[in-house]
Amino acid sequence: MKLVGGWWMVGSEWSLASVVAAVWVALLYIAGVPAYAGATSARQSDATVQKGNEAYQYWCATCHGRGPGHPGTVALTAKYKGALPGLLEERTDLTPQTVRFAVRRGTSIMPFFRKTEVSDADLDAIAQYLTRRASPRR
Amino acid sequence: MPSRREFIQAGLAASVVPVAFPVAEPARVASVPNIAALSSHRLTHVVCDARFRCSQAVAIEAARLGLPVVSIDGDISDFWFNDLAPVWSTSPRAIAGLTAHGPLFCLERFGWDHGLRVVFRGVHRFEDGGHVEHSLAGPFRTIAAAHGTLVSDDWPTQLTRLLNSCAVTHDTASTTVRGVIESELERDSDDTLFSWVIAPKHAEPATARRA
Amino acid sequence: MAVPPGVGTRDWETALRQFRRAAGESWVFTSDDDIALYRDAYSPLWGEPEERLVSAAIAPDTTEQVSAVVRTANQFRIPVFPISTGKNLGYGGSAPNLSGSVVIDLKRMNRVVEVDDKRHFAIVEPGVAYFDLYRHIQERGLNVWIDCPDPGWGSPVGNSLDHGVGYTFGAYRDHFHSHCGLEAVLPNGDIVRTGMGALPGAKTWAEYRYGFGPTVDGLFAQGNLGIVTKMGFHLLPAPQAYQTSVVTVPRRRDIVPLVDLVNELEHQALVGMPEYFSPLGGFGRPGPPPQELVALMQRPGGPTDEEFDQYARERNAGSWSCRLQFYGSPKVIAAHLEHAKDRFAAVVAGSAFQDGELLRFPLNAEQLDRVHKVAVGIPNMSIFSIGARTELNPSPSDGHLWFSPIIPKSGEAVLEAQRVFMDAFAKLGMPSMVSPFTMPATWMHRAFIFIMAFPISRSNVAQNQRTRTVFRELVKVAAEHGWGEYRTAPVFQDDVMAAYSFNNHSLLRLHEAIKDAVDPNGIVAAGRSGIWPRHLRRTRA
Repeated sequence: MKLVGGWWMVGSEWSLASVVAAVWVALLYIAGVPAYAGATSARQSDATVQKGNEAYQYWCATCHGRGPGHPGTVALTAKYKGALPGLLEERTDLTPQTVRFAVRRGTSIMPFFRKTEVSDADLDAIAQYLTRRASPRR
Repeated sequence: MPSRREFIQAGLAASVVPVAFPVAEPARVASVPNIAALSSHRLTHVVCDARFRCSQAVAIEAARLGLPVVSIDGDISDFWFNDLAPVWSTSPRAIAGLTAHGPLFCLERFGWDHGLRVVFRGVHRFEDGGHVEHSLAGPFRTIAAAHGTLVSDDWPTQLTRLLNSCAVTHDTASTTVRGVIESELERDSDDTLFSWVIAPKHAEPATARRA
Repeated sequence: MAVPPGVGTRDWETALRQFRRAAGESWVFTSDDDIALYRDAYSPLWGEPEERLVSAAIAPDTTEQVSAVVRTANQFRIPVFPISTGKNLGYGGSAPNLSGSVVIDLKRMNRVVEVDDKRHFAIVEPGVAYFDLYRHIQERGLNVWIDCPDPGWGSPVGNSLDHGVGYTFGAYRDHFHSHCGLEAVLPNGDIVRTGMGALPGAKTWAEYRYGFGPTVDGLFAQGNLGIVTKMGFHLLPAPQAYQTSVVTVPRRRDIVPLVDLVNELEHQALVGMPEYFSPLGGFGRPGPPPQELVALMQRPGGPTDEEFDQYARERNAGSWSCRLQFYGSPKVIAAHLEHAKDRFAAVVAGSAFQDGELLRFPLNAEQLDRVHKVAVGIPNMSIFSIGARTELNPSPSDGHLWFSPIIPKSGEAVLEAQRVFMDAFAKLGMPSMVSPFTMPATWMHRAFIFIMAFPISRSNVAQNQRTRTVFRELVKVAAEHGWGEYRTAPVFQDDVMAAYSFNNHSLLRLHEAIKDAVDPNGIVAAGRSGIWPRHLRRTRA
């Protein structure tokens, strides 16, 4: 395809269908969504969030799960004193950067995790899982 | 009946007065001087003069601390030409050692040309009767840490740790410490020996607190 | 890029290529960010030049890969340091003794090789966490328990190789003692299996520990002769029920018969881990200790036994308690509990029992919430509540360091340890971490561990320096009284080994002779337990 005067053109043939398709693709492009993103991207994203949930349950939930006996949740509850939920999974304000920072730098008595424990891919998935409810930001 | 947590806390920290051990500042996300920053403050070489047993002991301790050790026989020429000059010409970093005066004199001159200064100097004078007198001048924190450490026959080991921990600050202090070494050991030398750290001036301390 | 000490740059580059071929490109870590992940998160040297840092890390997946990595390391004399799950927090974490070492991270080797619930054993790789082994057992409905330490993320292999300990029954709590057979890669790359594992086709590797000839397994625990890649463990057949009962004795001197009797019950395998405490101790409740107690402690020469007893009577409390734990069928538990009561009634006037609830397995959710999980073999992370931020602990430290001397299992030894350490803290000019009510940990089933936790900071260097000075002083004080640490962080391992000095340090000299024979290039875990390779050994007078 090549860009001609703001319109993507397939080959040099113009037909109504290809114009419509070109407009559709252009609009998607302008909107910042790669062409053909659509449903595939949502599925990949769901799959990543699911993977992140699994990794979270294995690596994080023993301290950051719900209820007493989960020292991470107890600690965050004491830290925020109601201003934010103590349970990480209920937070809507986390960013992927914050999640990565906490896991790779540690904080207080929480140590950092190595890549043989939480791989970069796992960490990205956990970050997606914990930010799944985050307000969209542009 | 105490709960589980109460029992463990009692076991770990029961005391008549509340534990007033100096507590860290309220924990922040760990300030992490990264490896590069930590490494840049490490000594690139520890120079030991193989003629002296106490300097050999410094070499062993330095090696145990993972530091590169250079062994000379009183002459720093090879070390300078092959190892140090190339490093100092591009990125001068700190070195330390326990040597006779000659090597220190030369390295101090070379260092001057590259923006480095002697930031720690110890004079170790051997006396009759198995005594050694240590006179130290250097950063306040190093001098404070030296207190009580150079008073037995493991003083070279303790000295190595002091040299390694020498933070570059603008506060300087000095002290004189009188140490005793085991009289069975032969007196190591008639020479006075010198411990030293030569470092870039105005370097940031490795353990700067982050705001 | 960091280069290990004593290794030339060209050799290092060659070695890295060989490491990548052995373990895979993505499993050799050399970037600053990656190797920062191998710092000891609870390092008492955090941020200081003496902090133990690595130059690289390699994560192999099989014993053969470990062997290839070690052969390369030996060829170029590259110091290596094996870790399993790397969670030895308070005792050194994932950092080596020798800065600049290359960590061999065995977390990827996480296979549960075998679990048998008729002969009651397991064989696991180093990267298996207690959580993993527990899940493996639960998913298959196997009739065995694990014995785990407080945080479940540790490794049965790694924990036992540091003489780590747990919470359930008898010798199962002594994790190295309950191991049976191991496989290790030696410094020359050779792979050895001990015990029955040395007989090809034997099915008894994790059943009979001695095989034939001298057992060498102990040399790998807190040792540096090789890298363990598999280990067998004896497991406790799952009991049917569990019950606790707390016995309380009235007088201060009753601690002596209390401990004697509990020893008898424990060494006859009638009770599990005893948990000692004093009803008069603080239990970490908020606020200062009671005024009367402060006044009592300030009497010159300290309070007499009678004054302590008076204090206890005024509070209508006993002086010492012990939570006894019973495992077995309900009938057996009832019989053991009755026997315990009979023994106390005969020996300690005024002793009283308060029985807990009999819990039959499997526990329901409500019971699981209440029970002390590690006492029934369930791994979890709740221990971190102790140090973590809570309402009562709004400014937590960044970590801790354990000081853990072994004292005899007697009331007299406990009272002596209290006195000695309270004096030591007074001489050091700091508030005591020990009180007249401090009791030892009883994880080791044949010893008391008079354990204390020092806070660690990742921002306050002066505090850490003071901690290290105090720690070293306490190691000396303990040694003067015949008490040595059972386990310690790398920074103190020379100090602790120096205390084990019988016959001019003959034990260390023996370790060094073996080290020189098996690891002549001194590449594996140099400095572990104070055992250094020849080229890093101090000359002794």
